[in-house]
Amino acid sequence: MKGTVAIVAASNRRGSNSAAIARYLAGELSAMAMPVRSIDVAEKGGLSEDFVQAVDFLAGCRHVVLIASLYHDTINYMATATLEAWAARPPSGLNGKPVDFSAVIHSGYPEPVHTMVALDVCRQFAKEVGWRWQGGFTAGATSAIGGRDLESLGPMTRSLRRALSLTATAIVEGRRVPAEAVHHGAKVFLPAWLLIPLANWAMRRQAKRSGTRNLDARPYA
Amino acid sequence: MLNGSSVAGDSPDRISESLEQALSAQGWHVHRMDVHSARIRPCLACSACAFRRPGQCVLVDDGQEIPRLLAQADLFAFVSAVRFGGYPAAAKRALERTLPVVHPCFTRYHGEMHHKLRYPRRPFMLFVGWLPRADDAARCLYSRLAERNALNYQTDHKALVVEGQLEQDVLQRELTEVLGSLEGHL
Repeated sequence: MKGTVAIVAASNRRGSNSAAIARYLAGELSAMAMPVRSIDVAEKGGLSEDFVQAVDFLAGCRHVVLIASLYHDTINYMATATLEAWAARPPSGLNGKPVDFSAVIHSGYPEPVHTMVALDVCRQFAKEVGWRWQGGFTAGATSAIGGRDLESLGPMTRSLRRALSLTATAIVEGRRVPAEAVHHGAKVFLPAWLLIPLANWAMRRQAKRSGTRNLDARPYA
Repeated sequence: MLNGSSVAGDSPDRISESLEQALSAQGWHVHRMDVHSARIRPCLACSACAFRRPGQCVLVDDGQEIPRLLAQADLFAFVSAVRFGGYPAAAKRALERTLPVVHPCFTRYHGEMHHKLRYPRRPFMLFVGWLPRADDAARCLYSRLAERNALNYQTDHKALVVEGQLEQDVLQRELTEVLGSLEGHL
């Protein structure tokens, strides 16, 4: 029996990039005839209810993949609370074997150094609850996804999609997330020197559209 | 001081109490917020603090005070348990509410892309974590996370991990020593 893969998207808001990445990974796994189910813990709004769901959701799963955004240098609150809920009531996994666990951490920053601590927090979680850490990867410059399907973004998400495809294959075969997936996940479509002025232009444009009077306000100075 | 303890009287709460006493004894005016009793909703990542009300959170609760305290402080102390090498969810929820001090635009800092900050004044950051028992991996990870936080807030920091149960007087003596070692920075 193959068991089921549970994909858990955890960000602080609905329609997140985590959910978009989860959809793509679920599609890749389904295409390989792997039973998969997905949950977006932010989707229903009621936080305490969601965490109960996130725990119940894992029943009978062989492999759990957490997909979370970076927030203040580690996994966001929603993902942290989900891990705590799992730690409080960990499932035993399929046929009494430890659950396999892997993670995809994404961030608007292009450099992987921002996301490494978050990935290590996931690894530490696995160690503390007795799950089998199967690795993961980090992805940068993901702000431009805007919750949209990865396929619709063409070359901008090519490396990320490749990393997810490699990860899906590894999960199906019961292997760790391969180094090639880590490599592709770390690739960004623009270098930081170009991303900074473009992102700043996008922010100023957003401010103009939002009618922001003073983007540089210091209300508590 | 942001006291990220989950329950009144737990170890992080006792550490916060001792730290407050040590700071007060050195003449600091301490404003302490206890996460376990404050009403702090999760950041919605709604971007209102970037565009609609720049620098201010639109969630009306105790968490709305956090960016003001951070913007006006000389020292920002963050006390919590160490959970999976990071912060527990309740403490993290409070820390995420500091977001309004962050500017939506970006800059290069220490060779990395970072958000700009709204205020030129940057408090020194003191992170105090508590582990029920020694765990080198968790302690190192916590220290790395504190370092990343300080880098993002473009300021100096110190991270301290307290392991096990310490008597209150021992704890206070240790914290007083730590504060003494920071004199050059503060």
